[in-house]
Amino acid sequence: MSDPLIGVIEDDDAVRGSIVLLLENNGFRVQAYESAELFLTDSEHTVFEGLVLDVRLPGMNGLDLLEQITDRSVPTIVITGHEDRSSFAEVISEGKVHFLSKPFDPIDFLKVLTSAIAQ
Amino acid sequence: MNKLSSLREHWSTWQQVLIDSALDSIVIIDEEGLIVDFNQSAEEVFGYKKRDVLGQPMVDLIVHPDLRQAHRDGFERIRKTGEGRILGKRLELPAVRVDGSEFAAELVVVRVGLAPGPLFVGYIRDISERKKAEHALRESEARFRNLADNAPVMIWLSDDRRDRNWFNQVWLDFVGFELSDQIDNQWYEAVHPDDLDHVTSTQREAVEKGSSFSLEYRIRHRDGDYRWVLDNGKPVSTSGEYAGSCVDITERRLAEEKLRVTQFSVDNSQTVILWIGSDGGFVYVNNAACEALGYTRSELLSMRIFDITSSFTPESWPAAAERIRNQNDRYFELYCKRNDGTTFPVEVVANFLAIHGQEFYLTYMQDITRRKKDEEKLRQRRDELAHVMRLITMGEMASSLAHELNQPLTAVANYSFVMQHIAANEEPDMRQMRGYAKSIGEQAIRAGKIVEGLRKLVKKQSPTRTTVQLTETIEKVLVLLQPELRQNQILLENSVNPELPALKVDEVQIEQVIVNLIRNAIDATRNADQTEKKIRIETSVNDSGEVEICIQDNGCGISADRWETVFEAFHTSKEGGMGMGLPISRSIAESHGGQLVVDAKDGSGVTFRLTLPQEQGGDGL
Repeated sequence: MSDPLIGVIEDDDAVRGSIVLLLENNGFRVQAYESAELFLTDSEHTVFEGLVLDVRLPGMNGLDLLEQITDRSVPTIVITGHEDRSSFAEVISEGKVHFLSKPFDPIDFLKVLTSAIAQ
Repeated sequence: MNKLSSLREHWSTWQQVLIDSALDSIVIIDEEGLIVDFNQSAEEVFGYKKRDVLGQPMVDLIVHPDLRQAHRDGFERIRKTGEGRILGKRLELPAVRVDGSEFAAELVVVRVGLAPGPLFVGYIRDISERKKAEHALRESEARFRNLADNAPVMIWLSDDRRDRNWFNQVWLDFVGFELSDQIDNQWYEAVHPDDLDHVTSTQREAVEKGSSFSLEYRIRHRDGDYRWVLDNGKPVSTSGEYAGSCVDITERRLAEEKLRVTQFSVDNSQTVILWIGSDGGFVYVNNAACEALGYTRSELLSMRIFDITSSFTPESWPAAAERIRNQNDRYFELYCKRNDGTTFPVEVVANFLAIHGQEFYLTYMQDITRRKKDEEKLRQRRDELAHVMRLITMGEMASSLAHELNQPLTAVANYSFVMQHIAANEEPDMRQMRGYAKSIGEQAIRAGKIVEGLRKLVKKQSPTRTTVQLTETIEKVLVLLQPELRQNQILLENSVNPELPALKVDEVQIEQVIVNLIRNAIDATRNADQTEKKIRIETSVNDSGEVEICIQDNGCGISADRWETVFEAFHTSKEGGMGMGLPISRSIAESHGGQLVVDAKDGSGVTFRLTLPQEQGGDGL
């Protein structure tokens, strides 16, 4: 079985690059996107085993993207500030969504992602 | 022989001596009109010899031809009636000499009744010299009158009774009198009642001393108005006769009065007034100047402008004077030094005046200590308000700035973790490690810039002007604004001219203005329907040499009637906005001697233009 494919949607180059690096060094394959729009055009024919999603995105934000994703069974880590969480209340109850605040501990990040995929 | 009989005996001899030695000419005729005696004086006067005229008819010899018929008629009447109008009277008649020449004669004729018949004795005196003198006097007087009447001054004469009894035509015309009116001191009626005592007493004193006098008083003109005259009188004889002339000095008096009023108002003006000569010395100082500077007038008049301000020196004065002369620099502010060493700020208006080649720099100074204090207070308030507004703005930006700060921190944490992971390998890839370490450093600096920009805007510090490169200032501001721009997908076109001259400004305040304008542009653009949201920031140097910063958006715009209201306090179109951003921004621009204007097109964006002069005016004194 090949390494699980993770989709990363993050507009900040430094953050996106470091997450890709972190995942690739810990046994994941990564497909990274600068925006929600770019991800959506690709997700039609790509099956991801997990998603890492930034809330603050230019254009379509993280919340809009979550609503667009039809398959709610894909484990998703939403990277956000505390103040943004309330708007996700509805989404959280429905799907496998986990929250992490920037800056997060890379160990926590890997733990959450690994356990979410394993479930 | 007694004396009387002796006298009788010699009577005819005596008679002849008396007749011949008389000073007057004596011609005696008989009843027939024939000459019976002709004395020596008559011989001299008429040029006849006695022996040639005895027995000749007198009328044909010495009576003027024009009067001969009248003489004959009158003589005939006397002979018949014994009465004649001319007898015993002093007459003046022309007479003729032997050569036919005429002369003026004075004549008295008496009738002497004697036995053989009456005799007529004529006493004749040549008065042609006297007549000539009289004529000369009359002519001289006529010339004087003529001169006096035609002279353009008013002339009067007074007699030894000290009364003015003659006035020339000019005087009479001026007052509207006839000469006859003036006799008996009627002229005093024309003198202004308030001046009468002065006139009479001055004149009396002068006459008593026999000295000249000079008077200024009002006299009633024929048109009814009183006019001021200058009256100079001089004694013309030792017996108290005076002659004088008057000049109408009404214009001069009025000008003097006006000048007195002007002088009074200048002396007592609240404004400090100093007249400065071309060498910088004071020519005139008013009371306010003495009071404000703490010197006496005479002290100030021996001083120069350099003694009361360090703004001018003897070296710099000629150039400053030239600027005043050319009206290039008539309004300025400077500090004046008082006698006690303290200083105070003044606002100066300077004028230049040249009279007969003499130069005057007329300066008017207003103490602006209070205004300066008020301005300072106002500036403090504005600075405090600006600080509060910065805090509010930062509060609004806090969330996105925290997010922005978390980006590099997140990256740093990740890189660090990956590096630890690699380091755990037996043969760690040092090239990789170096790359990640570099990335960590970059992200730390990124975070540091955000913190620095934030700290500067939030920190409360007294405003200070430093020399800044506006291009760098704008770069610093954009670091803080990037998250909001990115989040709203707004493209920022940065066309900042790197060649801008350095400006001396309060950098924090200028940053605040730019933050304000860009955040307004973000708000205006965010909700617009534009497919491509754009904010353009552009800097340039305009024709007047001012640095211009344009911030242009393509958002919803402002309708023309609201253009200026955007600068009013508490005017806002934003939900939860205070409406203080633009008023504060404008006052910051103005305090730098610049301006902030809006140029908006309805529905197609707004352009805010901030101009800052290179030479800072504004609050600096």
